[in-house]
Amino acid sequence: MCLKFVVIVLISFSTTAFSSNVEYDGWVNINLQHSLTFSDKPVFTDRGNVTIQSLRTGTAVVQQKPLTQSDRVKLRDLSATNEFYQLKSTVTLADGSEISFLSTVKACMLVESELNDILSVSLDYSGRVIAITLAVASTSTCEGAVVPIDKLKEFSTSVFVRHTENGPTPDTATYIQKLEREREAKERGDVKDNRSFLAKYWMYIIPVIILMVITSATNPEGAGAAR
Amino acid sequence: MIATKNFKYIFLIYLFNISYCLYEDQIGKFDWKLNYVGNVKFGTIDSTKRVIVATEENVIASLSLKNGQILWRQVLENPALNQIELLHVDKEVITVSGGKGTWYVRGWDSSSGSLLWEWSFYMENKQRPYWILSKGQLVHIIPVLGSHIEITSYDVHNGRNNGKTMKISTPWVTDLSKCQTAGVYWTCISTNDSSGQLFYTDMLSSANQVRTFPIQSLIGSAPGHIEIKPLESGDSNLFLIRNNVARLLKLQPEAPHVYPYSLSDKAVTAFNGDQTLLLQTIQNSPTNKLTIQTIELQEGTENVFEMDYTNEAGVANIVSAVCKGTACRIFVKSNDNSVSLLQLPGGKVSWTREEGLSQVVAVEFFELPLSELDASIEHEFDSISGDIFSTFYNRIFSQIRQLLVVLSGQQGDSNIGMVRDEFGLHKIIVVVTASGRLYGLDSMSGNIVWSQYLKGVEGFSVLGKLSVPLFVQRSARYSPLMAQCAALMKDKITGHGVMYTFDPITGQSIGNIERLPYQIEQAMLLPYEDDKHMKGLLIMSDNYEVMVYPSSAKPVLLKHASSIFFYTAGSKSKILQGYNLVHSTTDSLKATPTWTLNLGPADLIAVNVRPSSERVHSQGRVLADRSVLYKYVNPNLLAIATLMDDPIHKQVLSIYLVDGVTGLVVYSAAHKRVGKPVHLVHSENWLVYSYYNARFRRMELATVELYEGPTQSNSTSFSSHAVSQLPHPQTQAYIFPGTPLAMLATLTERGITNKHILIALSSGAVTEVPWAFLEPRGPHGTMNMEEGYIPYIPELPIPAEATINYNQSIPQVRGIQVAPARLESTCLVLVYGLDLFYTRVTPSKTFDLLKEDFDHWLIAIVLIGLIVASYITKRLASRKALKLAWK
Amino acid sequence: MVMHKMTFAMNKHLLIFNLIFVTYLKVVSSENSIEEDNDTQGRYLIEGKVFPADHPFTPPNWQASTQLHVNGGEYIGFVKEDGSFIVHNIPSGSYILEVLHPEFSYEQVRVEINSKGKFRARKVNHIQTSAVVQVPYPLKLKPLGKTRYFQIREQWRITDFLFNPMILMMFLPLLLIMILPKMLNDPETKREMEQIGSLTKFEMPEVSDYVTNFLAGTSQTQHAKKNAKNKKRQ
Repeated sequence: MCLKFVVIVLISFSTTAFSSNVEYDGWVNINLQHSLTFSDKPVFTDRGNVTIQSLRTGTAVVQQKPLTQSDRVKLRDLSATNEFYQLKSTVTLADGSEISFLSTVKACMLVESELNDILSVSLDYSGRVIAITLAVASTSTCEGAVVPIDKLKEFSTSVFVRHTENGPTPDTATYIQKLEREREAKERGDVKDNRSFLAKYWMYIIPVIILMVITSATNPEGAGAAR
Repeated sequence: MIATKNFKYIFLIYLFNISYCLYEDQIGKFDWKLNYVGNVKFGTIDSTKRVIVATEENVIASLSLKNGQILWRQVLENPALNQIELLHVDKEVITVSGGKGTWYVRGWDSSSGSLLWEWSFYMENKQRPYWILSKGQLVHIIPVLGSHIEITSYDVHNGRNNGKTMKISTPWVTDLSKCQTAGVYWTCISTNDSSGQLFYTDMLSSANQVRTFPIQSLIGSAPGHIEIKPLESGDSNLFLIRNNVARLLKLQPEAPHVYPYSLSDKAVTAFNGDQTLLLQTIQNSPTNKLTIQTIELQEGTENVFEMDYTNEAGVANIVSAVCKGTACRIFVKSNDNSVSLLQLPGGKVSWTREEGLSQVVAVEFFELPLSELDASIEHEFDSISGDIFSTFYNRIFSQIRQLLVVLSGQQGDSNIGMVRDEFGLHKIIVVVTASGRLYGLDSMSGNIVWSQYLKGVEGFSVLGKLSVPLFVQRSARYSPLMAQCAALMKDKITGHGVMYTFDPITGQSIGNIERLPYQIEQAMLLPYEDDKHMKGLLIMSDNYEVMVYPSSAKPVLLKHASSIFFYTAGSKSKILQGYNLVHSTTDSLKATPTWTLNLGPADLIAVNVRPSSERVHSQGRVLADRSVLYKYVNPNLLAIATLMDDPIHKQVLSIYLVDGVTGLVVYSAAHKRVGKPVHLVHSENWLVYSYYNARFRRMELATVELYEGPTQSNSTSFSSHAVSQLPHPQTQAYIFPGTPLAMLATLTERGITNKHILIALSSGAVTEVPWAFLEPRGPHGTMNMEEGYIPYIPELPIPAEATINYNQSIPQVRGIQVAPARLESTCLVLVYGLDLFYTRVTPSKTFDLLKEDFDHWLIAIVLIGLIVASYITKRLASRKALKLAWK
Repeated sequence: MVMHKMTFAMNKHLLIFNLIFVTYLKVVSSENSIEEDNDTQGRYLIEGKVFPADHPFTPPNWQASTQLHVNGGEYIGFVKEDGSFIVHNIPSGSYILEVLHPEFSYEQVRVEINSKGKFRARKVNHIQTSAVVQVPYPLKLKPLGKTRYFQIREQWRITDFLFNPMILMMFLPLLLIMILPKMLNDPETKREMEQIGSLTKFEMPEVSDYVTNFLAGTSQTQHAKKNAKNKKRQ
């Protein structure tokens, strides 16, 4: 009867600022069940509970039992045969209704990460859970590392509450401001071109100079010949 | 500052110039357009060599009787909500069209098609009314079951209401399927058998006397199901149909006159001077022949004509006919929605219009096979015997053959046209129409190469759109193996799946039409080929059983079973479910659910995936500081759009990017107070979507681009399972001053060419917007000024030069299909709606081709000039040297 | 033909006659929310007149090929013989009206009908939705011009030809070969040039003479050549 309490305060992956413009709040209780034998009719056994106390801040309390010895062996076997580990999450909403979600990861990835997994809880714009996905942070699929079985004891799960952001809107305000500035500039009179004469007309001057150089290059000889 | 601004401005124009280029002399050079009127609903041959038709596409048009060409065409309101209910051709053409309580009465000039007059009304009552048009009076009838009918009559020319709405007590109107209008009469039968009564009442007379006759007194009391149907184009004539045999009644104020002929209920009348002819087709004729029977209504003289009619779909009905003496012209519609004009007594088909092509539901481009000559060169490499001498011999031999062919100046083949060209521009376009006919179109000309009619099938309704999935199981690349394509449809009656496999080049069916014993839930093409280069087709039935066709693909499937994932987007439950096939055995394929996405009460309105053949050439984007931002290119992404009613925000559009393997929501965004139309385009690492912003009353385009960041997590392969970090989305939105009807990104062979978004607008234009214009530029775009950077302007311009179909407007566009040519710069485009329009687009200009206006002459002249000049100067020099020597 | 422009609502016999509403609506609200509730009770009509392009460019039968789309084809209007149009059955709200013609472009107009049936037409400004530039209603729609779908292909011009790099490449060396030795080796010319004071003015006809003499050996030019030689010997 050893329960582990992990309190993780994590806000969405992408931005930290927008939880303030989330209009909703509430709590969600997620019951986690997993299947350690991958078959077409999976048998789900209890894994733990996640309570998101506030959807807005994403504060979550994760309670998970450590794996029993037999479960560890099952998980290792699952990993050895390159099978999938399945997770069924049942969400109890504030109004008592239940929705369940399924998620699948490669067992070997879970094992190689030493049961370090991520639970991504996606919400729609109104704060309703639309998907719960289990993922393992890794840059590649299984590398074939051998993990001792005692390391497969406790899940350390990070819970990410992922809000639906507000979509982009055309940025008319800055454009109008820009136009306004330009209009004001025009009203003040044309911008004074206070560059020097050379800076303004260099493109006309340079060909003239080149021409002069060429003619003077030919002339002295001619003049010399004439003398 | 002004200077830099001007510079940007110029740059912008310059960019437009490089992106769009069509010269006036290029009209029709690589584009073609086929014009249609739609599925004919009503038609009348008028007195002056024209057929006036009204169609299901809410189009009214005039066709030349001589050759079937469109003389004029007017496209009315959206056919999904509005339909033409009445067509009357007199001195002018009168239409009554509309729906849902909104009705338009319009008069058209029959020679030019311009509007003469128009009026309309709006009713609270959304019930579909009945119409009678007679003697300049338009009568509008609304029956109230079991009680009365409401009659309002208007002056058809100006809509002036002639008196009040009348109510006639008609307790006998119990079922609208038993009621009809025939001429000026409103008529019903009380029961569907001979024991019933026939009621009718004149809608134009003020007396409103109801006549009642027992049916058996009219046509006897044989058993059978009895229906009534008005005789099209006949005045006050009604069919009483028992067991598909129709008897014609002429309704009169006193008692109906029953004609003694047994007819089909599809008979029509034609006026021949003062005589009235009845025309009908007789179905039990041999194939390729059509038998038409004519009956003179008064005298009863019958004539039978046999004519050549090679449409295997068969005639659906005669739409209209006109006779002069013995010569008749009969306008018929076929079951495949094509219309033809037949001539009697000659028995010839004057012309046929393939109107089925106005209802294209699926399009696929197919590569043509190599010409025999090229194929023989390919075969050189078939024999793997590495013998130098034999390969040398082969090489020389085939080159001599090639030389001989060139010298003899002919290709020698009979199917000379349908071979692959050097640049892969010549393709065959397979289109599937709603009527169940498949066509193969030559992409060079738009000519129909082959066509095949499938009886009793229809498309699936996917997200409110009719669709027929087409799968390319094998391309024409593997000669001598035939190319193979599979089309999935459903049976009209049972709803069970129907699979039709065919060779897309010739249109020949491969095997029989397979009628599957289940309904289809999901289908996908396996990404793996079997030993005969055939890709298997995976079909999931409605009770989640999985099948693969052909069965020879099964071993390949089992080999890769753990890496095959697919999903279903339930139309009934709003749950997206992912599956894989890991538990499949050789005996049975098993789909195991792997993930769920629960959309809750939101409506799924669009799902889009990247085109499977798309290649991403560039892995990243170079920023101003020369660092690289790597793209998040996930081939398994699904783009999903949902719309949900909201008490505060009215409607909320949610956009999700979901990984199809793990079900992970990679990106999600919501737009409040927006609505339909919504279109999604997902390509490379980005997504473009359009929606209507109800708050500002404008169309907007939003773009999302996903980046992994400055480092690439795994440069060699991508795995959906390995989630190292979520991609960083960059977003931007634009105002779009047009209404998109369809949207698609261009596709090229290797993905080197820039991407353009093709947008079909409600105005009939198809415009291209370069992706560079839409690319999100970060906050205000000032931070990372990179190469080719275009300043952000909130409102996208729609320049006329960007219209790929120039002045050839395409109304009611339903979709766009693209295919890469083998020339990297070029993308082939087919736009389908009421019309078909094909063209090529070159988003980065034709960088791999010499310019069309490349001046070969100038180069030649200059070269010759240089040579001549050098000779002249040489001579001059020698003369001068001689002169100097003599001095 | 005199047309009665009216619209019917079965329960509410709502007749709107062809009145010119010079509506003076205040800016409806701030930029953030310009939405109004669509009142489905009343149905209105938008009317106006489309003008074709001026005389020589007026396409034949332009009335039949012109359509009016309100809100991207949600409501459609057709043009009569005289160019007038009515778009029927429109509930109150704000609409964008566009004239569709394959050859000519017209400006879009925003038409606003308030719940009392008052009309206001204004220029479409998607960016500043609150900026109102009113246009007269009933609408008078004039073409902006012929729609330019095509790029203009560059014409062959003699100047383009002459300034073509290849042509320059061909002629400049020729000129240099011919002129420079002349300039360097003929002291008399130099002297003469100094007398006249201009290098170019003199040299140009000289070269052309030289070339023509060489290419066409007629007596006249030979005469001229002699003259030129005499001149040089002075």
